[in-house]
Amino acid sequence: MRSKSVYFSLGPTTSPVSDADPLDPLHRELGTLSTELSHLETYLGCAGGFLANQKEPRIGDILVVPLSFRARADTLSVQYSERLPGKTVMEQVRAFRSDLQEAEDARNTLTHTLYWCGPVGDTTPVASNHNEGKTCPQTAIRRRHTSIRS
Amino acid sequence: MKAKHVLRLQFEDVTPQSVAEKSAALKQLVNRRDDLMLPLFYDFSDYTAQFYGFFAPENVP
Repeated sequence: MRSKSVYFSLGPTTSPVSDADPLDPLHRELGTLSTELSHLETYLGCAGGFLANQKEPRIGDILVVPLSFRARADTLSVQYSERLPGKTVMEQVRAFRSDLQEAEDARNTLTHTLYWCGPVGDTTPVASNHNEGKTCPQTAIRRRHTSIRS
Repeated sequence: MKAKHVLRLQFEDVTPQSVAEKSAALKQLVNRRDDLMLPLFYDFSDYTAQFYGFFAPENVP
């Protein structure tokens, strides 16, 4: 039996789809945030790869490439303490490691979130709002986040 | 029977400005990484220059 595809309709439109979405400024900032984190991830990879093999950092890079952000941060932190044991700078490294994780968690939460323009609980589709030319006040942008907790 | 799993919804205002602040905080983390690496590992800046040099227009096939 063939499966049936399901499409979500945004409802009747009264203006072209190319109209500016009131959430566009938010989307742009989310894109910037993702890009910044990618830069940071690459930076961490460089540092971790370099510390893994300072004579041949390229080898270290090969090892670091498949690692996640968290693993890169751990790699950097662990190698730092290995290279510079007992240094007072380790407290800074620990704080840095902690802030890295906080930044990634924030990015993940913001990325995996449903954005909603208008009061929470208002089930009016966003598309129909912007097709009617309504603007979306900054304070009305809401985040809906679902999670399963045991 | 007590539900073992629950679905929780969180609602929060998110504005372009609040996201931009998080992006700015990320840039600060890059600076902090430099502060941790550059003074103690002198060759690191040469290595990063070489690494990012791969993306220079003259090196892109």
